[in-house]
Amino acid sequence: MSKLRQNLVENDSDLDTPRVPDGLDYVVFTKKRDDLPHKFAGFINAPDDVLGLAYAREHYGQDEECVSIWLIPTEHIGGRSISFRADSSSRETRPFEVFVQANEGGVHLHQGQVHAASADEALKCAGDTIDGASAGHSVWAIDRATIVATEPDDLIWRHVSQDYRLARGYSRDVREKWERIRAVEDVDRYQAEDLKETF
Amino acid sequence: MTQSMTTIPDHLKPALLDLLLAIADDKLLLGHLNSDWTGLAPILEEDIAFSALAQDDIAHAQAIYEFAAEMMNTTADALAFGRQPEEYRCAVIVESHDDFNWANALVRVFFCDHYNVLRYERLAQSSHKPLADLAKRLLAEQRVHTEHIDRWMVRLGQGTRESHDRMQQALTDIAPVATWLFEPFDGLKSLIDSGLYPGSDFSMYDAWNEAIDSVIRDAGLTVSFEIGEPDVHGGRRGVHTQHFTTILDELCEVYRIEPSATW
Repeated sequence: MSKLRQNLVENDSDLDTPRVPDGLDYVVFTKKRDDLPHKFAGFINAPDDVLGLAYAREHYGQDEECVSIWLIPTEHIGGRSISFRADSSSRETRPFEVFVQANEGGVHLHQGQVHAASADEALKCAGDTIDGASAGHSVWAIDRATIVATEPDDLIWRHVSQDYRLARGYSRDVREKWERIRAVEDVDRYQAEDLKETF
Repeated sequence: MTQSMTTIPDHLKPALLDLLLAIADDKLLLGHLNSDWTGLAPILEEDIAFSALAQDDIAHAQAIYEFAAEMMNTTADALAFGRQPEEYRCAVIVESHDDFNWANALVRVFFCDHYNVLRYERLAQSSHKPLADLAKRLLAEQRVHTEHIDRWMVRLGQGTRESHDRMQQALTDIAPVATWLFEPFDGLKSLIDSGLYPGSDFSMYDAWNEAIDSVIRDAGLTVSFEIGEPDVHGGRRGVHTQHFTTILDELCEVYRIEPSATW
């Protein structure tokens, strides 16, 4: 943190700060390779679809290379969907993507697609046609049109090594450095005494 | 069509070093200054993304310093932190703090990132294959940066009256220094002729202008540029402002105390 930043006098208390309206919540699914299904990766909150996709790429895409990212607005998940179509004679079906969480605590995996006129019908259809859906702990059937997706030819990855972002090998590396200038027994004794003093 | 080079000829090394340092120094300074925004950006996710972009800039600087260090038989750290102010090759646009003005921060990234895309595009055609390969990798990531910053330019330009006015003010304030990115330096011609850095500065400036203009128009903003005097020396030839020395002192503080320190 620069000295300028350290000395920055911030605005008045939180109470005076105008509240920024909450963005939209999305569930993020990433597809690591062409032969793997989309897998639940996490959540993102963003003002809209465009920024949501940008942030999802940053958060979930670039740390683990992937070939596709899907964003699902959370408003489409959970509870029974309400069909506004009073006209039940409309048999126009549309594609619904089906995600199944096999066991409690597991992750949702994309298992396939069904065609239905409503989410309820899609769920029923999924139970019949998609592996694991009837026995699954949680099943989501999401209207394909509501899914925000990356372009098919858009590969998401990092090009420059990001190792410096990781705090790896600290205790091993520091120990090695000590042992270069002190005998092993001395380092052991120091560590033991250090712990005694601290605790 | 120049033949491909497996090693850099000695007589071209000083000029190539100047070019590589120009890119890496720009990125090191920009990444360093933008890191100050961690915790202060307007929304949480943007804070994370902006900090990640700053880290990317430093990662790019590191990759280029390492390439130059191998060529000059030194270390990346020595290049990044061990030079005197007049040996740095960054442009004036990255030499001052943005005073935590989000519009200023965005506009600076906007001008610099589009310029970097063009520099990498030229290097990706280099007659020296390892250099071309490095540039291609960095170019892909650089384009992700410009996509991100373009979205913000349009979003705020088209946003509210306040966001439009603040973005317009930032453009007007920073445009005068932006063109110094294009300051030529000695040896540039030899790099172009040898195919190490093919292309022309004139068409690069035109391409930059076009890219900038297209986003500015979408954002409903305006900007105009003036090219500086070619005889006046600026950052590319080692002439820096007092602000730069202050920032450099802070950036190099630890290295200057103990150059051989490791983490």
